[in-house]
Amino acid sequence: MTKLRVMLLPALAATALLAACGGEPATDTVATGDGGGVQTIEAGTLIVGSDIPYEPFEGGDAPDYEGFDIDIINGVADRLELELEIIDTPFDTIFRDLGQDKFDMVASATTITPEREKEVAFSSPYFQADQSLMVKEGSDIASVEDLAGRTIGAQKGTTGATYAEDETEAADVRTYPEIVDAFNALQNEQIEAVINDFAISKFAEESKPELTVIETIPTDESYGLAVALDNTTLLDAVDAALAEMITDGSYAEIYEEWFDEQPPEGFREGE
Amino acid sequence: MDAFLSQYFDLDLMWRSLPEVLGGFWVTIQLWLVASVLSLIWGLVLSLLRQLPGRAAAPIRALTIVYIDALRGIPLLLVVLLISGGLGALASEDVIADWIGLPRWFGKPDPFWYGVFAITLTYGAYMAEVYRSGIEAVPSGQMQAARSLGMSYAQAMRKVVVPQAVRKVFAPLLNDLTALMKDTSLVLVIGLAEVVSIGQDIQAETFNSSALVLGAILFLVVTIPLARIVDRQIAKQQIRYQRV
Amino acid sequence: MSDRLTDPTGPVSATTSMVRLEGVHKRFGRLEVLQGIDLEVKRGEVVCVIGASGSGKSTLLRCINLLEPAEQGRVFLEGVEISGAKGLNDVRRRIGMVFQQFNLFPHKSVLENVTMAQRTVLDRPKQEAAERARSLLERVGLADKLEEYPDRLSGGQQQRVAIARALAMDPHVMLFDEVTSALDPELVKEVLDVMRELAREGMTMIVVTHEMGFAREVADRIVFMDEGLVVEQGPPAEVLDSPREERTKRFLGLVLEH
Repeated sequence: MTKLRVMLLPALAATALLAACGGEPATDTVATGDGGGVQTIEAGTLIVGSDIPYEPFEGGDAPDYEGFDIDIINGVADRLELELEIIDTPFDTIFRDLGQDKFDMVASATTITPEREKEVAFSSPYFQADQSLMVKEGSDIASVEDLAGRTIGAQKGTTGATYAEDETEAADVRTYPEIVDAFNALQNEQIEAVINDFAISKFAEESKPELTVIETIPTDESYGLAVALDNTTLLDAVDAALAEMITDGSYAEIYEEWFDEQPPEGFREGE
Repeated sequence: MDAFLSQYFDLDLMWRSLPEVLGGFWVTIQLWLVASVLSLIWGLVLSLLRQLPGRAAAPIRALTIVYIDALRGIPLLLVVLLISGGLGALASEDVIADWIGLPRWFGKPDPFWYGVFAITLTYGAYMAEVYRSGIEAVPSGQMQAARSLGMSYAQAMRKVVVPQAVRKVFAPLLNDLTALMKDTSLVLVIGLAEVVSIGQDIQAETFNSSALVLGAILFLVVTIPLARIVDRQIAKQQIRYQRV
Repeated sequence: MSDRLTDPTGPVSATTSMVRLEGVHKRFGRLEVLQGIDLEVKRGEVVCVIGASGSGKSTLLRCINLLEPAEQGRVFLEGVEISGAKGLNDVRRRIGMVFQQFNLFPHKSVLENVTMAQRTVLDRPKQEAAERARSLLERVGLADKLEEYPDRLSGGQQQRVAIARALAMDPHVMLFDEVTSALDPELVKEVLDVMRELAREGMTMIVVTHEMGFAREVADRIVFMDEGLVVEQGPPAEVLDSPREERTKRFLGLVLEH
């Protein structure tokens, strides 16, 4: 037994060293920001984590990222009188990183779920989302029921991956670090379908003409901006900023630019 | 400290996710075994091609050197992505047959085989250099003796030089095999459900990283004994050659 | 099962010339190691080649069994030209060679060392090869070492195994490249004894050596080489006791009689 313990010790030591870089959960001892009395990790700057690319919500190259989310958080930062800094970060660890104070906020087409609400605090919804089923043209799949026994793909850590695993009869659900990898695999016929947020898959149709969204899976999901659980002051400020953007029509402007149509009820000017 | 321990060493979660993580580790092991055997063979072939004697063989030698340099100079991750993307695209455009472009042999999914190809192509190159150092360490008198007995170059290599060369580089080859085992995780980027990928998915679902730590422990269960075997081999070799 | 080291009924060609070199040149880089060698060795002759290091003696042997191809000149085996020929492997099995460094295969047992080429090159069945190996090893006095590995044998024993290994191929001529130079003095005699026996049985031998006593006693002819050329050759009494050439005299004056 001693030998086993001796062997485990280096293993524990190694993982301890690695995790030590993580740090403690957020406390209140952070620098005071300039805008509206909100405290941010770095005074005067709103640091936002996002998994780029995930078009049309976030894309492009640093430092000039573009996307729906990008425009929204630019609006929020302006109203909070903060500078904006965006950090590209993998999606499947984004909440952990938020908890470890790598950024103030997450804006990454993030669906609000009860599980996630135990770990982070969400703003009021800023986008209504659904899942979607995407296939390559010529496929014999017509709906989610047809996925039984098939090989399908989704992005790691997304509600699409959860839906694929829990709500379909697919035989092999492959999760990829980036959604683009799943689209490529679909293009190459290595998988037969992709389950992913509707807006993203729809947008991908432009650059991948052989791929089509054949079904919207209504899941009543909404996106929210996420902050650390105890960061109530920032959350309130963000909610206030969002509300203002909806009322004064800037939300509608951004929405129309990216989706070519009026935003749904509840998000239009004057509401 | 408590938060750290519960985030990474949640024993209850480790226990509950053990079947899933073990399933992923089994995929890792299979990938490791298949790719190891193929890499060992391919590496030997490459090293022999690199040494083919005679002027007529010069283009073969040159091509082999270019191949070895290229595959040792590109990150394995890139090779994985290029193989998967490249073969897949060629197959979907019917340039190559599906059975090779979308390999699903023996019930294993295509990312498994793309991983095997990529790892074999890359590690074969590394092992070729290891074999080469082994072959060069065999005294030239061995080849002379074999040839003076009438053996052809091929016979001499097969029966006299290569067996001695392989014995000499047993330890470095084992080291490469250990590294190979760890590199199998790279294949997760094309959707293979090996142990790290499973750990990541569990992490995303539960917001807890203990499944990843469990995966790390499983790796150590294999790699630490391997390291001790290598040490023993090196010690045995020292003793043997002290007689000379 | 023959009691001898050599097989007298083996096929030999009718000509009495065993090995002949005509105008053989060999160069390594800029260094011309053999500057035009003309030499003939008849069947059954024992020729000892002497000379200083660097005189080209070893290279000479390697040009005969084509381990080193000559740049210029021709090599004949039993009257047939072998330089530039195809099927070298077949030629080489008729020429046996024993090396200064023994070059036994360390990963094989003594018995396997002697049977390997018989089976691989001559396609002899396992039984036959093993029996030939056993009888040869017995003749060189190593019957009790069949299962040993080379690293457990003394230098003299290893060299005797090497001789048996070469003889197992039933060569028509044997080349010896300073085969006792790497041995401790007390082990030299056992190897020379085997070589003496071979000569007595009529094997054609070309022996590069420093052992002057052996050369005097066993050689039919002594060839003195210097700087890549044959300077002088003749019966041992002549070359060793009353050499004609200056260079020969100087060399022999420098070499201590063993």
